[in-house]
Amino acid sequence: MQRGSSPSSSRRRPVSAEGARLRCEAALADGYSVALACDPSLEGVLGATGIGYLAHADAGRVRLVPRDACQARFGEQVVDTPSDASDELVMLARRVYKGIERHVATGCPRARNGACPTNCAGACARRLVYASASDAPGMPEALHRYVRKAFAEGPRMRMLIADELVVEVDELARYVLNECEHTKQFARFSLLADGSLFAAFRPQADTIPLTAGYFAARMGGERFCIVDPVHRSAAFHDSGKLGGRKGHTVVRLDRESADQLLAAKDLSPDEPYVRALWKRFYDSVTLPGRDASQRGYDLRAGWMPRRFWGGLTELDQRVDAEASTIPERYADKTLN
Amino acid sequence: MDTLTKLGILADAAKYDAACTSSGVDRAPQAGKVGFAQGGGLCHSFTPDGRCVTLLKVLMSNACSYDCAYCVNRRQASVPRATFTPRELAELTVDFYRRNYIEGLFLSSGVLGTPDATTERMIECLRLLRDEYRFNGYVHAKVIPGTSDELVDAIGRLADRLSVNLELPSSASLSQLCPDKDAHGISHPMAQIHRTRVAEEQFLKERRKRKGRSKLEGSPITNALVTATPANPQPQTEALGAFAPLTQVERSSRLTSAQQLRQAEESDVMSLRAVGMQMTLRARSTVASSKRRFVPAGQSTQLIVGATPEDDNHILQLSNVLYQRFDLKRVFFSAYMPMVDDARLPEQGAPVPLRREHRLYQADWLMRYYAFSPDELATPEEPWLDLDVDPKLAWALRHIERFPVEVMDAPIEVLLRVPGVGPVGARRIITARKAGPVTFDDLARMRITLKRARHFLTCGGKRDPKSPLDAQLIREKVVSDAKQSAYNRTRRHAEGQLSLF
Repeated sequence: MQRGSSPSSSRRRPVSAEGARLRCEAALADGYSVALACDPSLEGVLGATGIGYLAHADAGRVRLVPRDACQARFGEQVVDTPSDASDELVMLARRVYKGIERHVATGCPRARNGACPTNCAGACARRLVYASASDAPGMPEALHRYVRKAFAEGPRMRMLIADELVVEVDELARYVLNECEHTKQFARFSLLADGSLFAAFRPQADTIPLTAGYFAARMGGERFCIVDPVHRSAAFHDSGKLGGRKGHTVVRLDRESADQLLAAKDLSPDEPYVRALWKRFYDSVTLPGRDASQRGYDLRAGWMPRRFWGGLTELDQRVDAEASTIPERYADKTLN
Repeated sequence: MDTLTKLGILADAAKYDAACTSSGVDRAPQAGKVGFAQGGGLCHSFTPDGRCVTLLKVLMSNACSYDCAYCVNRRQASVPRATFTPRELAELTVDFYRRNYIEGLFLSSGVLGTPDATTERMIECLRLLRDEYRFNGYVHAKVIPGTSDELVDAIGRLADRLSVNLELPSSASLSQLCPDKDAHGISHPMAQIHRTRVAEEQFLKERRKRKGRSKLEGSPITNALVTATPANPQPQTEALGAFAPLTQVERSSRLTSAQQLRQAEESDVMSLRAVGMQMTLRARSTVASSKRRFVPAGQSTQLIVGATPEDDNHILQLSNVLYQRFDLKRVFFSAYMPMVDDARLPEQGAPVPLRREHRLYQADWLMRYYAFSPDELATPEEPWLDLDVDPKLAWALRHIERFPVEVMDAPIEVLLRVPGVGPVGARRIITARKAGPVTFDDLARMRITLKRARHFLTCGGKRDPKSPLDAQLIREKVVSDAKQSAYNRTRRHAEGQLSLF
């Protein structure tokens, strides 16, 4: 992902990691607890965790708080950490991440040459990546305590699946993973007049950076953009032109850019008819005698949460009326 | 007739097919192609009745020359008829795929003249899709009984999954309701698909061994498959009942259940994703689906329940044989919806046996993922599944003397028998107990369904305080809980059926 990064990182006085460490040490020496204010991203949280660690702070005397919702408690001093766009914080975050992988994997029965094995994809550390995309306000502190525990427990960490700290991060990660699945399921692309595809999707976690690779793989040579206006992240894909071999890039947007991307698009002339085709298909496949009134509960709403319905072509009642022109390739082909 | 109208007719005509999964094959994206396939599949929408929409499920044509009594598309039915052109359907598939509406195509068809003529048309569509439109996504195709071996082979190289519908649970019912079909016509392509997959598996294993020694020449996969298909396959006179046991080659090519159990215990519970196939205790192939060229996602089938008199024990026995004999990935059950006036069928307005379908799916799941045998779930003496209580709970209540099970030392196959403990939960318990004693609070944190499980477990020798000690009281409580669910109350009202407990 292009760093630049959390919307909260703009318009702040630059802080260095070393400066934050020194202020943290000083506050602790004065008998205070420390609230490390960080960007609620993987880099922000792991970097801040690294700063606390380098300040030799006891885990019980440091907590991580999102920078935008930071309020000191009694006997606590707030210490600002560098933005997650800062190179030194990213380097520190990377050290922490690699450290967990190495530390937890040492002695792990699945480890190869002391490193986290590829077949479990470093699951102990990987869950941090997912959890960090959560919107939950307690996410930075949950990850901080998880990381501390991982360093304390080492390879035993993978057995502590009933531990409260592990369960808390696990819940965050699973929620994000679910939102990633919802993004893959329910994002709907429209074909624009210039031949590219566009989708806007509003998940309850920052899923675009985690799913951009999936969409790039799925779409092959297509040029597309998917935007999440809630988290102001967007993925662009243009095979061979963006992001090196991957063909895609993920960026953070300011409000103006997000609004521009979401502005009304010039659709391909075929688009209304293809949407109508999809809605017709959807309307035709319902089976009688099996709906919510026959089950005692709404199975559809369970699988497909209502908050996504507004963006689904198949549930958009305007679609039928808008399909006034039949594209040539779908006109009467004599067989009936 | 424009495509919008045709699509309405041909989607409506295909909706009675239960299968709509895009699972079973991993295929990486390829340069110049659109799409890829992931083993877990993906649902892109859900119908008002809650069924997953993952594929564009349509008929090529609903102009059918067969006359199956229960079918809305039968020859004598008075319905509007339509037929897609192959290119039209290929265009439609790619258009939907690009917009993230679907994972691929599910192509079935009424019998347009003859099975071969229909299949040729389906193959033409799939060829366009794969070769001209460079579609690399998922394709499920139906095999029409009576299709020639060559065409089954050809469509099997274009589709990821093939299915031959069993239609009904016995040969007698089939001959009564489907005058144009017979059991042999159904089991023959199933056997062919299985045989070809086994041959390809053998070939791929040999190639793996040879790899590095010499480069392959020509197109040996084709040769291997041709030689694997006998010129005069053994006729199966009593097709649905004449399933031979697995051959030695077939058995040796698969993991044994002991190996599965060992692997299951070692599986990584820290992983956030549970991969279904890795959880199953069924023997499975050691060859990756991504290496296969012929029906890489395997075959499935579907049968209608509730239209004919076969009991659940019969249906589960049949499913079990199909899994063993033809290595089917899934058997789908479709609750009969009375749409047709026919003296041989339940009358219109009769309730759809939704709960029966649901319980059969649960029982099928227990056979595939929990190593239950059919007779354990619906016995020959009590051949119907209980409709109020799920089959695993019903089994546990029938064998309550085997409980409670101690979480600290029960092996995985015993934990899997505990109601409320699933394949993931059992593996989590095994991992967690290595770190220390496991309590009921720990089980709750591990997402074990304690509402059911607490009655059948002890933690460190202690029962859960919320569970009654007396077996009869446990029975009464769990049955009462099950009966009071909104689902059971609604369906009992609609179906008016009795419970065994």
